[in-house]
Amino acid sequence: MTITVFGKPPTRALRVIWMLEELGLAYETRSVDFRNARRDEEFMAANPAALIPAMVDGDVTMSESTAILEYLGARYGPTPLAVKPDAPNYPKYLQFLHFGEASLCGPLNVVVASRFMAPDDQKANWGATAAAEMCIRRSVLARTQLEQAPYMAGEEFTAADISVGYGLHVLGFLGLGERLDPALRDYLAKLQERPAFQRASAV
Amino acid sequence: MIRIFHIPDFRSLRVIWLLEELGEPYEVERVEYPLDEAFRARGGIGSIPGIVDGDIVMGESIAILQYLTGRRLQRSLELGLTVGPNPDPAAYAEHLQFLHLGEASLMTPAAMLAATRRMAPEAEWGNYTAMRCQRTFVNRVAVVEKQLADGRAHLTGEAFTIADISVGYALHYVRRRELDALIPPLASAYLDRLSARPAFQRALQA
Repeated sequence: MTITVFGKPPTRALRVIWMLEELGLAYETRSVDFRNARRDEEFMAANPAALIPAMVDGDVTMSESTAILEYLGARYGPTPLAVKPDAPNYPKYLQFLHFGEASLCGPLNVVVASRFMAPDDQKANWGATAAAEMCIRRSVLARTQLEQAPYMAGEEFTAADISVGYGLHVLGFLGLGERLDPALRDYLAKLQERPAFQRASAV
Repeated sequence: MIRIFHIPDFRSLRVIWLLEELGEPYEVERVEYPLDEAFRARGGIGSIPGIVDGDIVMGESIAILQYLTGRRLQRSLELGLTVGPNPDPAAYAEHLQFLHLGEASLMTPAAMLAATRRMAPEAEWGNYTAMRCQRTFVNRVAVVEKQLADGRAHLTGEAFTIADISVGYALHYVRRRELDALIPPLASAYLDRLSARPAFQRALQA
């Protein structure tokens, strides 16, 4: 059965589609107009909470992008993209898999929403400004990791790079890319050159 | 012994709660907020919580829960505190979903909402961004409420797992910041049950 992804780039659906492309799995995507998501019957049937992205794989429905990365790696592995619990770099892998969303990308939700949807006098309010600064400050941890190794979990590209790379990609999308350390900008550019990323972002 | 960098009621509570559930000895190193340069200079951790376990140094509360249950403390598997990809991929998917949801979907908006009230001028408390966070939290906690609708004791069934620690901590955080009105009734009763666990009570004292 083909995996269905609801949502498209530049939403977090990009993480899921990028992972599917890296794994070489068959999938289809469905765009969702998030302002009218609750009127989209097929989407709501698959995902009653109306969360984007959502992934349907047979009897499995999920909506947290980084959880989906873990699921796909375990279900369709073994793959170098998902580091095994007994590998020496498993702690680093887990840390950056979560860091990409919990520390880096999560605070950007309000920046995106305030920038694109808020009334003009609210576009740079206290929360939107604080969140962007928080994200830039936290990116230093990924910069520190790049002093040790070329990727977040070590020598090889993994799902942790998809998680963190997407967060950096969104910062770039918001015009904050030049606030990032040059090493992070180079790392992001290297990720964006991957054929799987290019195919995923063109979906 | 596992050493944890801790600030009371911060996300380090998740890690201590798990170690209390397991009866595993640990050492707490209290740090002050805001984090100072000395803490940041330790490298490899970033923010609270962090652990040092032999030569392993790591941060991110949910990552630490997965490391401890999936590798470091094998008895977690016997106790059913975590769920693996086999034999049932659908159960694994559900477990991952709530494990991640507790941080990415619940704590992210809750922390921003609480930060606005703690640090911003009062005129900003109801601003567009804060209200957007509140709506997001309410929308996401509805997923928890729906999951509990069949009367189950815990998120993925009868067994208590680290997904309950993830989500339970987020609900606890919201209740402690006087935003209790945002928690729907079944989730509120679920938080009462989690809060009554002896391991949680001991963790609060750490």
